Amino acid sequence: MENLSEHLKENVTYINGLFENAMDYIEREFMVGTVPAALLTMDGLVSKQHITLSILNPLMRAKIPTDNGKETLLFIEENVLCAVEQAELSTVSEVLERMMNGFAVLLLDNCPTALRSARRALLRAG
Amino acid sequence: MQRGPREGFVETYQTNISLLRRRLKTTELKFEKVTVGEESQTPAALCYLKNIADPKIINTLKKRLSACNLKDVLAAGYLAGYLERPAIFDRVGFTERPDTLCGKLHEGRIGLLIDGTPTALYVPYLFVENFQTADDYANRPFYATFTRWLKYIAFFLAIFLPGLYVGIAAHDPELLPETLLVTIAQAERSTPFPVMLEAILLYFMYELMREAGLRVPKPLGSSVGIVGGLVIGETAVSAGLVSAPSLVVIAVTVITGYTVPKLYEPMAVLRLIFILVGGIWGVWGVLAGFTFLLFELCGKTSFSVPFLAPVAPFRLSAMRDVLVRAGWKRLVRHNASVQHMPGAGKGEKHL
Repeated sequence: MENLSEHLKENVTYINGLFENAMDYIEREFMVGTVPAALLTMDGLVSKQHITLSILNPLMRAKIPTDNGKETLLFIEENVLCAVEQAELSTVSEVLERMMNGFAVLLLDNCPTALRSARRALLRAG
Repeated sequence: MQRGPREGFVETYQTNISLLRRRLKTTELKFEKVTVGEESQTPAALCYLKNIADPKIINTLKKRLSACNLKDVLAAGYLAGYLERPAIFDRVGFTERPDTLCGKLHEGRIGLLIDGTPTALYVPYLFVENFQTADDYANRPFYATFTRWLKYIAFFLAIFLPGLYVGIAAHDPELLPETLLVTIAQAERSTPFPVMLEAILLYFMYELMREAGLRVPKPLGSSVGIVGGLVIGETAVSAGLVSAPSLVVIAVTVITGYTVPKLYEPMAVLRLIFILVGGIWGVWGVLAGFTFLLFELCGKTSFSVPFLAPVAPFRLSAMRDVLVRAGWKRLVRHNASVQHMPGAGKGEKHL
């Protein structure tokens, strides 16, 4: 699977399969308005508190005027998430690369692109 | 000079997981959660690269961990005895460096990150790894080769020098050149103890000082050094209690021991044994002891990989990271997976 599929289930199942037995992989499924969505990220590379407060919270509370996947993504990008660094991704390898570089990736149903949001947390070690 | 990263593991194992993930951005890197300790319920993470690691070794490790009946696991060292049978040399690796562990995972080894301890365990662990450091791979190949040989020589000196000295001085003085023999004989004539007792006493004094220096608070550390250096070293010789050659031999032995810190524990015990063996049976005793040591090394396996591989069983191509440290262009061409070492997987012995 090279490009992201239109179906959320297909994308999520494929990426879940890649991360089988990796306990630092986080996948959270939820609804954005009426559109099923999934947020993918790696534990430890991003701050969970930040994700809850600045991504999940606004997304789940947002009043989305449409039930189309692509339009929802555009609406989120322009009106819901206020992160400076946002980009649309269309291939699985881009999604994986961004996830492992400390970004949270949002996948929506009926939408072959994903939104990555800069939620890089500074990792403190030692 | 240290050229590698300065990052180290911390006590929280989730942080350690992310330290590894930041270095290995691949979906092949797996972390499996396991719990150890009946009462402490300490979380730990098995980590390995799925496309490289041998599933048999992973399963054996899981089996041995589940057979562990410890109540509390407060440090990584608690588990080592459950992963491999006790022996003189460690067959479980320890590291505090994420870059080292990443390198080990690339060679098919399995890491174990335990919560509450900044030390990660990894298996299988081979004897040659004691002489390989992460800095070897960051430094230039010719210098890394030089330091590696320095460490091999230091290892042999650290174990055999005092035993050979005692053996030759007490039983086979004809092996020494005349001037050296006269120097040692003159020094020994004025001291009250036989050379074996002298060596054991000096070594015992050194170990006492080492232990004291390790345990006392930092401000007192310098006084341990002064007492050790001046009183024991200088005055003991001038008072005629010990001979200067014995002191030099023990000092050289101790210094050489520091060059291979991973082997400090077995070396500390082995050199004492060799002093005794050399003092009682002379050079032949030391040689017999060396033979037994070889038996011990050759007879052991670590997770069904021969402990002495790739030296015995021998593989010429693997020598590029044993006898020398070849340049990276040559190293990457070589399959260094631990399960493909010569003799691996034969005669499996499990706990």
